[in-house]
Amino acid sequence: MIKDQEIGVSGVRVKADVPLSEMFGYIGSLRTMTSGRGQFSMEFAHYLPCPANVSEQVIADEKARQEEKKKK
Amino acid sequence: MTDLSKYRNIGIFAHVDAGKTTTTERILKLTGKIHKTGEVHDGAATTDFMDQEQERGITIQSAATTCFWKDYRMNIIDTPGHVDFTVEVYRSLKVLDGGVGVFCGSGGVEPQSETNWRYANDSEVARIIFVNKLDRIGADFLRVVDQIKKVLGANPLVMTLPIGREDDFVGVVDVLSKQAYVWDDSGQPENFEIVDIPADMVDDVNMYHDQLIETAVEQDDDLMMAFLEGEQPSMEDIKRCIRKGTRTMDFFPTYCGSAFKNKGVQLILDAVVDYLPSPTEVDPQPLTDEEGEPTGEVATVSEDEPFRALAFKIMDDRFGALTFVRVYSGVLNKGETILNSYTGKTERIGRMVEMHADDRNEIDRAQAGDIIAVVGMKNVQTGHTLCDPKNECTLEAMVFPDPVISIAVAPKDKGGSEKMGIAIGKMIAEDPSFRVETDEDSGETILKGMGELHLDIKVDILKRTYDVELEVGEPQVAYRETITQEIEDSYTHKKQSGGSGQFGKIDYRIKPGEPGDGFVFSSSVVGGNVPKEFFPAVQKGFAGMMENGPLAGFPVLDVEVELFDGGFHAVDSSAVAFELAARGAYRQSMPKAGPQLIEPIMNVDVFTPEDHVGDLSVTLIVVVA
Repeated sequence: MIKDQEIGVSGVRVKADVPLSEMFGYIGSLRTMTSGRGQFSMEFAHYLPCPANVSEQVIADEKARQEEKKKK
Repeated sequence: MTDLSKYRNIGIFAHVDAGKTTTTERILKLTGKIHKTGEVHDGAATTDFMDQEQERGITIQSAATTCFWKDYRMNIIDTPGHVDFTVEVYRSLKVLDGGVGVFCGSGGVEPQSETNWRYANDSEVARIIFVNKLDRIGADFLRVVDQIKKVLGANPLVMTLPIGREDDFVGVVDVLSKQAYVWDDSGQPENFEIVDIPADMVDDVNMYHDQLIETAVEQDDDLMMAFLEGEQPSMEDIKRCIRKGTRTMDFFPTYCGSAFKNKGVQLILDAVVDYLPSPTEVDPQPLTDEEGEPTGEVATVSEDEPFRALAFKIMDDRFGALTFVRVYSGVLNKGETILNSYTGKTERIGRMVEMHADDRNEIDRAQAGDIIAVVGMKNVQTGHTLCDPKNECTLEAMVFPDPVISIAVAPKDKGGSEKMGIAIGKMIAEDPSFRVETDEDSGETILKGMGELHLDIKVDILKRTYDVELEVGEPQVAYRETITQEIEDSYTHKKQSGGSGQFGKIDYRIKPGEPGDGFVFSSSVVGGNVPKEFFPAVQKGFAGMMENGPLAGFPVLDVEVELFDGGFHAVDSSAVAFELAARGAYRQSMPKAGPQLIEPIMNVDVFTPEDHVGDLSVTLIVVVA
């Protein structure tokens, strides 16, 4: 969810709430897109419910992982 | 005894690449500690002394460095700029009395500068501002000053103005004294001349000079009256006013220059001496009881008080374990025994050293206001209070955020696992935001931290510093579970067939709690249907199960359990029976309470040069969707 967008003199800053799971490797793609000039920072805000599709996937993965462990 | 008014404990903080490390280097060079200045991009900077830092060109750990400028003793804490190391910034701010905020003259106020700035505001650290890199193409001092106002909501007080732009940047005008400092091209900081203000700048300088005086005299009513009646305040009075306003954060004296080109750094040092508070001028640290509640007492910065100090950094370097300590009050002599109020254990102080980044001087005595390192302490972690055994106290505890990301690691060869265990133990003592768990089922070691980069660097340290070869898993998000519906239910644990029996019946409500509250237990049983002595057992039963959510076994957050009725058996009821009843109740009722998977949401702040905005919005939208 984009909360704020601000056009400055040297560029644009965007503030957003984003699930951590979506941020993996983001710094890489941001740098590629902006030829290394883009920057971002993030910090933990709060917990929110996952969308149903993500939730199902995570639960399925986690259960599979636990099954796997039991076999070992 | 040293005059405390001649102490300055300062931190230098800024965004990655704003030139913080270079600025620190230049300060150390000027103060005569090192002769050949290390350049960050050559990987030889004095404060960045870990291999990982030199390769990445960023500063990971705060190194404490002592230096002297005009009879003033400065302890400089170099802070990391990347958000993944925010804990280090927090920790450094805690022990500082003042700071220098470095901003890039062309990049301006970047996302991380804002984050760090906010932390410094929270900690009420007085600061001066240094707008760096004015030799860069696109650098514009006044634009950055404007951004500081708009983006940070701060009030910058312009103290110097640049002479020339970009490649032609040659020096600065001191607005207060109306003197121009011009450096030659040798790159030597001491090669400057004091000259007349360039003709085309006279009007500007006069304007800023008047602004400066007007802002300064607002700090003193008498001076203000005299000024309004046309009397020019003396230089001492103005400096005193600037000092006062800086300490109360009414404004931030703002300087400019280029650390890399060695221009303008002396003025920063003078400003630190003139305007930043000494240890006795900041509000003293409050003392707390064991639960972290303030007791109303404070650790007054004075040698006459009992010894109180805070361990703010543990490092394990090639010299052995170093505990960085900020002494708040009293005196510490070599050979004395101190009490760690957290562990309740006493420890003898063997060797103490004054740190200069990678080098050190042995000292015999430290006093209130000092930042020093103690060699070879055991059982001390970051945030522990060290004090006089006869005057036990706790300084405000430091609170660190919970880790949100984890990776599984395993040593590549069997022999590595012991080595890895020892190494990880040391790393945890050094960094409280870094945690480790062992998965009981698989025996895997799970590293937990604040972000991808944070863990990347930990893995790197394991590989290089401790020489442990690792298999590293995919990063995992710290998912949690909660519930969405309220449910009222009853559960009876009963085992009364032969031998000593077990009986416990509980009637309870489980409902969604307030976000951030975790697990809350309450009891409203009346009439003794469940005797009071069994409440803790019921609570323990539920609490234990909360580690294991009904959906996929993630820990459960923000659930309230209310015990409102139940039943007991005069002989067969016991704490164990009620605990088992609670566990059974959890298994029975949680799946019916609308369990829901929740995930950590991050406050993300992205900055991009204008020409990429379209791409950026698209990606962020893709990311968000």
